[in-house]
Amino acid sequence: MNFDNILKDVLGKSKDLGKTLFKQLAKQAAEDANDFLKKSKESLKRAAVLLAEGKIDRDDFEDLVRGKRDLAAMRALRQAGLAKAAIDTFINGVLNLFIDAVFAAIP
Amino acid sequence: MAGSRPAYPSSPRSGVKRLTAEVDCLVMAAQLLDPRIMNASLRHLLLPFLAILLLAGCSTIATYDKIAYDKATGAKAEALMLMDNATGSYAAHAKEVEAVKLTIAKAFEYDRGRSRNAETVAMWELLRAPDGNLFGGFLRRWREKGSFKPDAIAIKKPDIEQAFDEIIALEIGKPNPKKD
Repeated sequence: MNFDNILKDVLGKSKDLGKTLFKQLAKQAAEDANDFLKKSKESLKRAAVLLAEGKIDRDDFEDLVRGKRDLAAMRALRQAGLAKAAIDTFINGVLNLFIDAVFAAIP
Repeated sequence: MAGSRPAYPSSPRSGVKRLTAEVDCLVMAAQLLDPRIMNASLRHLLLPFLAILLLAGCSTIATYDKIAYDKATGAKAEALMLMDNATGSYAAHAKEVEAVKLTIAKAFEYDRGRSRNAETVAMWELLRAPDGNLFGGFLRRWREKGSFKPDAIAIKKPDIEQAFDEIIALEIGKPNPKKD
């Protein structure tokens, strides 16, 4: 068994795995941020109309605006958690690649 | 913040056992890296794997938990249903409010007892904080105001729904040993 070759092979495959996983995560985070901004804009626009029409009061409006800040914090926490999950998935993926490579090398 | 507090401790004996195993692992790794045992190029190649093996012993986030997922989805349904009643007086719905608060408290405490779960715990804290502007804040304002206009509920409800969805989405996104 050539351990040197096994490690080189696993290292190469790990790079691909890392690229795929973290690229997906970054793409998802960007889409998520856009979606949040779009939804917040629409919601605040509607709230401004309701406020002008007297259908909600100033307190409701202010609470809605401040709630968006809390919601943004929750989104950031979710992204942080998902990034950690991606790291765990990557580590497990590399370990599996390593195990597979060692077993494949056994004649 | 409670999010950074450690999870409920397991028995001291199991903690010592785990620590001993980790120290043994580190000693073995150090021995492997000894230049008398391994040449420089192989050592260079092996380092990332040793780092990964060590990291594998300490996952960064809790794994998916069906009970936590069920508690969060259940709490979401109850909270949104309660919001629909907020056009009525708080006093008339005080019992229902307490029941939903209890459901959320149970879900929060369950998540607080899980290790490596700081993000979810922090999310629950934001969602239920009475001085915040999500569900906890909604209940406080309902009590203070007495009741809400229908449009005030309609404009706030999607945000509360989204807040619960953030917790649920993170739970779904956690590594699932049964699925992976």
